[in-house]
Amino acid sequence: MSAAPTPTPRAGGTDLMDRRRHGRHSGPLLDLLGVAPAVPVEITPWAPVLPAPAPATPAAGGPAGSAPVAAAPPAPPARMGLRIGAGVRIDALAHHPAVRAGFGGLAAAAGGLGTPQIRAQATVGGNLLQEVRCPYFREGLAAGHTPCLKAGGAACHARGGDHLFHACVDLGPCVAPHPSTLAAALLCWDAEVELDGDEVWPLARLLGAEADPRRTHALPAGRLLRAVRLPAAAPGDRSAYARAANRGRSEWPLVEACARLSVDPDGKVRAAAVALGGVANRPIRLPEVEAALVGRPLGAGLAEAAARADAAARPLPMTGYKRGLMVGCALDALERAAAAPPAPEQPA
Amino acid sequence: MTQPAAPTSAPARRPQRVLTLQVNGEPVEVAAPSTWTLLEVLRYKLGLTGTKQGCDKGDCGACTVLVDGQPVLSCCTLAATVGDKAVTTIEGLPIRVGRAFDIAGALQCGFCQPGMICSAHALLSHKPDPSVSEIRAALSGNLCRCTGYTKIIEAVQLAAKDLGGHADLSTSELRTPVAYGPPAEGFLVLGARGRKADSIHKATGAAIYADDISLPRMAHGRILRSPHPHARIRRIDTRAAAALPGVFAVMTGAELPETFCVIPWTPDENVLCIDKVRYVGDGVAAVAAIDEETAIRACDLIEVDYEILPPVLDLDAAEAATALVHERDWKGRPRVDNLCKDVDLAFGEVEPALEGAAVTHGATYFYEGNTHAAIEPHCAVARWSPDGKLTVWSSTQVPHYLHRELGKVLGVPTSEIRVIQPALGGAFGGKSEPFDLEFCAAWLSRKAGRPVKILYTREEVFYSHRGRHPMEMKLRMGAAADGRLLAVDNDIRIDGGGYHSFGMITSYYAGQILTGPVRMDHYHFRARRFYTNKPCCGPKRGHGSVQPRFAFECGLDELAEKLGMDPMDIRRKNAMGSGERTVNGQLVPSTGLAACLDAVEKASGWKGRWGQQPRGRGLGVACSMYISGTAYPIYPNEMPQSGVQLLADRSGRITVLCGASDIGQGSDGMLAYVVAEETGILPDDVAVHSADTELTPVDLGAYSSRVTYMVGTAAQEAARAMGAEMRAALAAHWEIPADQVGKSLGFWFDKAESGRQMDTKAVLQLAEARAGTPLAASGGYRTRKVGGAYRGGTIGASPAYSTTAHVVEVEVDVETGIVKVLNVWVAHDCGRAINPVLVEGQVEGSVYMGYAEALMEAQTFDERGLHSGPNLLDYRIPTSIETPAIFTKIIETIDPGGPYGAKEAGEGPLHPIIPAIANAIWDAVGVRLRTLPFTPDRVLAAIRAQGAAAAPA
Ligand SMILES: Cc1cc2nc3c(=O)[nH]c(=O)nc-3n(C[C@H](O)[C@H](O)[C@H](O)COP(=O)(O)OP(=O)(O)OC[C@H]3O[C@@H](n4cnc5c(N)ncnc54)[C@H](O)[C@@H]3O)c2cc1C
Ligand code: SF4
Ligand code: FES
Ligand code: FES
Repeated sequence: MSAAPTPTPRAGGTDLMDRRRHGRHSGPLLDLLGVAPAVPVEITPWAPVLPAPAPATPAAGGPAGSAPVAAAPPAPPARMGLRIGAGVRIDALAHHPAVRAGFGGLAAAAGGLGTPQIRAQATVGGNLLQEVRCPYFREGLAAGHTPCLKAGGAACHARGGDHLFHACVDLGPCVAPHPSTLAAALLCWDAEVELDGDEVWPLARLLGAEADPRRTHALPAGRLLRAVRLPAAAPGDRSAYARAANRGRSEWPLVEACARLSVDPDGKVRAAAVALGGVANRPIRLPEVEAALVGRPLGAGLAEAAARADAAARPLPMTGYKRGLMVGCALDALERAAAAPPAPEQPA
Repeated sequence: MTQPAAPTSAPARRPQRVLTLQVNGEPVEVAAPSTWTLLEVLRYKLGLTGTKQGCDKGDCGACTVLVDGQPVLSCCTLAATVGDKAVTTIEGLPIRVGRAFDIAGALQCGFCQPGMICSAHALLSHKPDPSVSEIRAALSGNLCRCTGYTKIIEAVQLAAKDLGGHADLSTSELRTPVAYGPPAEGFLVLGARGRKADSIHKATGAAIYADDISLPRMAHGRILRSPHPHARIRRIDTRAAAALPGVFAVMTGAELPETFCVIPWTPDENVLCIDKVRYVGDGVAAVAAIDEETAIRACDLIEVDYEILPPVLDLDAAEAATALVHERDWKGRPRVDNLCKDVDLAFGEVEPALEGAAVTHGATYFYEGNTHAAIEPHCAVARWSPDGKLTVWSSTQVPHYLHRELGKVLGVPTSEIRVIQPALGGAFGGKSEPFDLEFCAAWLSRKAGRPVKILYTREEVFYSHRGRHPMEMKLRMGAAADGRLLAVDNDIRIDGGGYHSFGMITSYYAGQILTGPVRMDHYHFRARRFYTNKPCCGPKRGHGSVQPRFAFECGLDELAEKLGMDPMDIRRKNAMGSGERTVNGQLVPSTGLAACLDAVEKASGWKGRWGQQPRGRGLGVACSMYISGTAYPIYPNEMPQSGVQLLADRSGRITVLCGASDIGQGSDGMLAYVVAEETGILPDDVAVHSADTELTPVDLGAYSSRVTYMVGTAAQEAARAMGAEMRAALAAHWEIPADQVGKSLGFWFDKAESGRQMDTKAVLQLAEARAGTPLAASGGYRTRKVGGAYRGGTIGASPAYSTTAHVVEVEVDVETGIVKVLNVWVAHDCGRAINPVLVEGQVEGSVYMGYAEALMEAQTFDERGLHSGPNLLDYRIPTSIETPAIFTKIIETIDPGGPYGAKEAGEGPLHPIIPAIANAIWDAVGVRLRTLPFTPDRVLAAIRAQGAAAAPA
């Protein structure tokens, strides 16, 4: 609480305003989406040609999921990826023709989260950088107690308390599921994020911040997330999204899954990516499932592969039921992906 | 923690910023703090109170407005960021969509509707002919707690037709005599599908709810609440708060030491805690300040020194008395346990009957607590005038009881107090007793010399609770080989929370209402309600009896299974008939159980489908009976339980004055129908003024499904008296015998001479001239002596009982444990359906609410007494997406005692859906679920356990 606090960026405000109301955030705001938006608000084609600069600091010892750190990925220059401005509304992402055509799983994830009003207001950047929804962290009377880890306290209250909706893959110390649906989906494309100052990070580096349980992402204070970069969808790529929830809308799913299958002309799976959300304090990829799919004909052995989806599970006392949901959701997403139309030759 | 230092540096007002906005087609300039949301600016600066606030955090959709035609949550949008985009609120929308909502009967409390209509409008503007699933998706961000979305979906379809030119709703302006269908045989209006009296105001944002009231110089109050479930208060220091600029008054519990309770026998609550706090959220102090932010800061400055005590958080701890929630009772006598009510009643010889039974079933059932979650948070505005008179506007469903308790606690004669209930945004039992905010607003107003408003946050609504009690039920039952139900024994433990509330009644209802419509020969129940350190439970739709009904109806299916009977048949076999007495001595004047079962059996295609669908799909049945008013008032007295006064006006209008609370169920409209029926004036010419203790005669309130029966009876009596005066005047004028005068809608006529008629307005003038005084009439509902002749035999006794049967179809995913309800068929015997649209609305809303209790809602607390998610996101109430299709059939078993034979529809239909879902899950996957709610984790565990049991060891 010293002098001149850095203003906190505010995009759609659907997360930030709630935290402020509950005394979980204070201080000046910087509006990103005013008359002259401070971050891009469009989805534009993007050619992955620039040799990505080496990250300023290596990802802070992330154990899980840290995909190969951005060594220049020389993709076929003819094909275009997408650059999604951090200020793009989730609804616009869900309906964008190029996203729907080439990245069906991402479009479905965007179209399935929150409510129509939330999607119209919330942004891609805000979605990736939102805070956890754990009631121990958010609610006023709970906050009147000793604060939890995330609020700067010494202990996680959910662990010993009510954690029915919390993590089933305990990566500790905070066990609130990572709140971002889009993050789980984007992991399947090894998306990159672009910060102000043209710095580019792999998405996995942004998500989770193991070193500091108070943080849910690794973006340094005062920095802006400018855009998300998606590599070009290869022809024959198919993807899908599935969620398990006991309320149809307006809640975070118990478990959610995104699957992407790259298929060779001979109908065999060349590469697979499956990611789960809702199960850990950051979205996770499922290497065991992915490995089991590579080389198989499209659609074959899905159940067998999905059965490994709970390989990483380390449930808390109340979250054992999520194991079944991990498998069920991964299978659902894979089946949908196998049946999904392939990305077109020439992305629109 | 905040340092209570240097209060002088705190500005009383936040810096303002001048904004230019485009609202409803006009440029407006407002000065507002730069942190204000669009919702605050619209409501509190521009007076556009049609846009509602239900959660203030993005979860409910009530605050939806259109920004450049897109639905947007105004509570999450900073006003300063809207710029020159076009903002459209409900007040600025063309009336057509709202009118379709009105005509379709989609509005109950109406609180969700401005937002809902904005979303519907946006949908229709880009999709003129949406499918049902598109409608469900488009409205999925707008929670409605009243309607079950059924009529809302119909309304959007109707609006689509109107906008597309396929229907013209403009011709159905409000003046059409009989709204949208023919009346029942032999009646002028009764039985006609009609509009609700106040719908169009709600559909256009004009209706005024408590938080829409703003008085000059009004201060904002806030209650400081305990973060501990159980603690002694050693000291409260309010000095820093009182010194904060902008604070007008601070109060603590010691200033109002008088205890209260809605049930006068058990006054165990203080307005604010004095000695101890008994749950997280118990109030300890309150402040009134210039604005909400200052009030919140002042609360932060209040220092409370707590001595933490071990909390009692479940039934076992409560029974073992590991600590005492109340160490003394309200008379100061020491207590030794946490038992707050123990009811033990036996009818017949249960044990021998069980021994002689061909089949028996015994199991323990657990019903988790849940809460009302009306979309409107509780709100009260109080003005203590210099002349000593107090006016309280409150979102209450019991103005009369509130009136009494305010007098008692504040120490003021009730003749000095006026309680007004404005439009109410949903209640369901959650607003049926006095709450701390009403007393605090009043007292702070007196201290501050200003009007004071207190509006609960959504979190406070969850902690104030008074909702469904968790109940553990050890049920045993036995039947003869032919299916006759011989005996039922139920040992019930009730988790009551920190205070008594309606607890005594709850404990009786838990046993007394179970005895029909399925007959039993012998019956015993024991119900013990315990205090625990959790928010206090109270009445929620189907008060006290929903939980045992769940256990009983599940148990009945288990008996049927053991007997190899179809579940329909065991219910038929034991179906009571009209005029029969229950085993505990309650007379059931009418019941339509057989007709209800037939209807749902047929509609669902039960025969050939039950027990014969592939694994994962199933059907289940259940039935129930519910009271139509509780026979006796809460405090014993000989005065009428309900009074209605009519005043006729020369213009041809009749004004109804009645204390009844229209909480969205439509009692105002019911009154208009009854008056129209008896006087021939159009329902639209009846002006209903209700629930204002200074203007209206007493009605005890909207609880126990008493309004239609009791208020309807009083209204019938008054309207008949007025009709008789009209008739006599006209007979004298035409010089014909009174029985030769006939009435129709809009005019009276001579039965013997065709063409001789006079319109109702002229008849009213004639009658006024003849009387020589303004034309007035009154009627009352007087207590009828019913009930069993034993202690407690009058509790749960009712002059009439409704009956319901449900069949539910479910789909269970055996991999994930997720249960989907596909269809619900309901047959409800409400007696005479005065306005079928309102009956359907009540049935659909009940089904929706019960469905939610069965599958998703749980008001649970952790080991620190904290709610597991006190917001509308974590506490899952169904959206338009998953709420199942509901098919309602009204059965009219005319009741000999009800007004025109009417009974009730507001609570009964909630009961059967829960056991029907459980029974359907059994049909689908063969597991018996005995603990609610049936969340995926529980269902999956049961399926796994079944697999493990089946596998060879
Ligand atoms: C009822 C409901 C249901 C929901 N269901 C889901 C769901 O199923 N899945 C899901 O993923 N989400 C869900 N959400 C959450 C919602 O998606 C997020 O609140 C939203 O995406 C946040 O976006 P925003 O633009 O409003 O962010 P803001 O609230 O404006 O910001 C969020 C955070 O990100 C920071 N930030 C935003 N943009 C930038 C930037 N460009 N650079 C740096 N920092 C930035 C802000 O400082 C802030 O800390 C739900 C929300 C509600 C209310
Ligand atoms: S799960 Fe995370 S947010 Fe929740 S109590 Fe634990 S540390 Fe806090
Ligand atoms: S008040 Fe805005 S969503 Fe509830
Ligand atoms: S009518 Fe929708 S909440 Fe009451």
